[in-house]
Amino acid sequence: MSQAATKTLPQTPPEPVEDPESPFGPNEMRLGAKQWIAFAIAIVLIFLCLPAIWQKLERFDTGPDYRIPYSLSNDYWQIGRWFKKAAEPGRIVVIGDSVIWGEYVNPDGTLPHFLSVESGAPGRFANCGVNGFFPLAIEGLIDNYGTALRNQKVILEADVLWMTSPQRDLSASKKDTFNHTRLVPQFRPRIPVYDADMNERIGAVVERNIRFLSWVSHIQITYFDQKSIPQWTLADDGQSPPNYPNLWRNPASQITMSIPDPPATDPDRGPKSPRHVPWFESGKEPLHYDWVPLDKSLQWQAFQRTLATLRSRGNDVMVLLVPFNEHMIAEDNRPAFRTITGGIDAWLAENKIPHIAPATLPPTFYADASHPLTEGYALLAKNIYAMPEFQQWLKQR
Amino acid sequence: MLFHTYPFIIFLAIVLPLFYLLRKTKLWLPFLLASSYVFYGMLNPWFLLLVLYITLLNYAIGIVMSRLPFDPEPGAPFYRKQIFWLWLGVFADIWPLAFFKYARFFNENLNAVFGWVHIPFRLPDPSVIMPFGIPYLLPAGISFFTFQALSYLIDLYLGKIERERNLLRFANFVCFFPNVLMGPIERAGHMLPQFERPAAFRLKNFTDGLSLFLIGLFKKLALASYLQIFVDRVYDNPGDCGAPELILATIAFGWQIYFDFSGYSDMARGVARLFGFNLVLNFNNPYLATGIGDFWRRWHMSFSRWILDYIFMPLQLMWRNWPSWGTAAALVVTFLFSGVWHVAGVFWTYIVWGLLHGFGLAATNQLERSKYYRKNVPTWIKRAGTFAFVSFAWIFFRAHTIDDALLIVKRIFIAPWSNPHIAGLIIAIIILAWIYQILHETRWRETLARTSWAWSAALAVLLVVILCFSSSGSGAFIYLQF
Amino acid sequence: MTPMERLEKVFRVVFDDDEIALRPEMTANDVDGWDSLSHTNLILSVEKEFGIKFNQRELLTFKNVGDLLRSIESKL
Repeated sequence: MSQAATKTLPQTPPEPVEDPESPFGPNEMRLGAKQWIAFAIAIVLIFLCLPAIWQKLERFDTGPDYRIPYSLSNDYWQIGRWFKKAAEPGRIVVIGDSVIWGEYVNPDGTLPHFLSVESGAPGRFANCGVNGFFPLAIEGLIDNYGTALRNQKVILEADVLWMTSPQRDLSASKKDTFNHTRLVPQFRPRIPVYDADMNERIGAVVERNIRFLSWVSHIQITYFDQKSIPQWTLADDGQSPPNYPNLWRNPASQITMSIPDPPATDPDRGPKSPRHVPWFESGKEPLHYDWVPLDKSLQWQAFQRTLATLRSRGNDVMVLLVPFNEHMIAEDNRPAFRTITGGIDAWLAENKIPHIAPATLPPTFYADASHPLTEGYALLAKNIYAMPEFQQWLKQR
Repeated sequence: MLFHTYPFIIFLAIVLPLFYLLRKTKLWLPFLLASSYVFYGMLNPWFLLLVLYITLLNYAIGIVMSRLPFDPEPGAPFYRKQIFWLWLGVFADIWPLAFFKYARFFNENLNAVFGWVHIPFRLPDPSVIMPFGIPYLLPAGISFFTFQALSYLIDLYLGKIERERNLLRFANFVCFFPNVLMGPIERAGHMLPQFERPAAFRLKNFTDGLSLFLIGLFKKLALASYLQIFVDRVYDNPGDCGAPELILATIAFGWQIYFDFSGYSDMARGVARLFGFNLVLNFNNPYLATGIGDFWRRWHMSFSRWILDYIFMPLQLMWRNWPSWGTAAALVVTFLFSGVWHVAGVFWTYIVWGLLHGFGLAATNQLERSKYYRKNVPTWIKRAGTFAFVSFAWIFFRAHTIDDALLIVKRIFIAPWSNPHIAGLIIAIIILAWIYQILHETRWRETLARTSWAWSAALAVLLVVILCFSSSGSGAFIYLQF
Repeated sequence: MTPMERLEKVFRVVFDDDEIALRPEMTANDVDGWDSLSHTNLILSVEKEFGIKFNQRELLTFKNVGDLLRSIESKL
């Protein structure tokens, strides 16, 4: 019988040959039980150890006036690392938003810098403010990335800017975008302005609880211009016609194992910058704010929770109610403002929390509604240092 | 919910253990159905109505058809003939799909015609007639589960299967969460028996299922998403791109859609396997095809077998008295049908794509009739030629409009040969994918399959790490819009 | 000649291969030189040889040579 005996009736093209186990097709990565266990162990080891090892290997130089560079504002893993470095005994950590960070000023023109100058020891007050933050984000930051702050002296800034409108308070009903969405509470309390689907919310919670994923974000933010590696290779430089500088670059060469220093000169900040002028010279006028009452304010409630978290970790917290630019509030709006500040003051007193509320600075010392200029910070530091409650808190152990 | 999202992981983490706990009880099948409905309903609860409609309709027609004699009695009225009920079922199954997919396009074009001939009548936008404020949106997966249900009716008519008596089993067949959104399109004869009893608890189901799922996830999130960035940039602005850029973007698109769709199929099969179910293979190294016929035996296999068995074969046999022309016409109709099925948004580009493949298949058949072609032309030339043709057809699949597609084709020939601005990494990925596929179909496959167990585990770890670094924002699966 | 023998002769002519030997349980598989066109040629030749006509339905349900043969015999 020749081979022809096996020739058969042609019908339809043959059924794909299927073994009862259903083939993998061209996918040959077929792991058995032992391999999955090895995989699990390897993944757990990598996830736990790699960020820790990286911390030891990556150079992170900080001077006395160091503050997190603007470009790294959403690198939470790195911020947590800065917290850890700043949390030395004898050093006082100052936590807050762009007012502490110093939106209009150079690193040597910020409030922590001038406080250190007053104290006579450079770097005594560590600038742990982050530009673009707000109480809800600070809450997430402290909760998840601030565990290094224990038994430390901390100054926590309270800024009423975040209660000047429902939109800023994130309690307005209209959905909008804002910064640092991955830090804010994703589920409870519900933030009306926050518009994200379930996948994003769960993803944010997962990322901040799995250190490895935050570390991956760190690598992407610090070395790859806030992009994933695929995006980075195809990034264009914004010119027209566009250039694509990274097409043939080796991604590994980007990782220099050292945190880039912020640019030496910043054209937007500092006394020489055109932005560094009093508010009335840059066209700003007194405004009527839509103050959100404290009991309805999401930002204020976040602040309260942050305070509780810090204290529960043994930190000695002093609340600094930064003086708002009252001159920029319309006359008939000031009573509402005082209700807010009065309420904050009352709550702090009631709960026996050390706090200071320096007086409003003269108008020429402010750049806008909440940010002082360099000379404003210097004056503010002097005022704070002169307050006996502050001196008493400094001395207590 | 899509497979590569956190909500799905949570869903799986709840459903899987419960499924195995309920395995020995009678509840396992209703529970599976409930899970599938929850999964599908999360996208839009209104769509569940459609699923219920398809389920009950086909189940009922199945009952009617099975009560009628296989061969109609002479002189029987039309309602005593199975063929009548088959056609009724076909129309009843198809009209929702046709309505949601094509009504707007149809109305718009008909209104344009009315405008030309000055008839003062306009058809309204279909969203106007939707009841209860249900949005006029294409229900996800409608093309897939409709076709799956149709295959049940047709197989019943052909006597290939018995009707399913158990409504619960049938409902699971119509809407089974691993394959309801994007296939593979299963046949009743393959799926229904699997719903008869729950699978045994086998470790292999978990290890295999997870392996498939991880591979699919990697293909989709790390590879397809990456290529998409480049392809989107070029295809959004073809007039600004040089010839090499357009060519490379087209090739990249071919690989993007492969990774995307085969990745999803792998995830679907992996998830099904976790529960002990087998879904058919959907992709088998399609870019190694030596002809268009071979291509369709390797690409979206469940779909191509569907149109082959239910459209092409009947037409070809019906027109067998004109052998060459009948077959060619059957091919054209089949692939026109395929183009229409793939329509997503713009209409004509997919039609052209479908027809191109139809003609390509006819041409392949002609070539393969010659002994010289079969024996003397080297395989690599056949593969290259097929890939070139398939890539050319992809231009029409991907381009936003026919004008764009034609512009791209023109520019490939006349535009300057400028810097393609393609990342080296993309080229590396494509070359590696080619090498892998080629090796897979040679004796090296044994070596690939027998790699030491440490290497496989290491590979899996590498995949996960790469995945973590590849997150570039989620892109919806391409085929989800069908 | 029995129907089986006549069928075998048709196969040999259609596929241009004198060595084809049919068995009832032979099923669809790749035949050298086959494409779907040969399949229709085969059916046409069978219909011509036996003077019969298959209906659409049964054509789509033949699973092997045996089915084909049975259908032929039922029509003779």
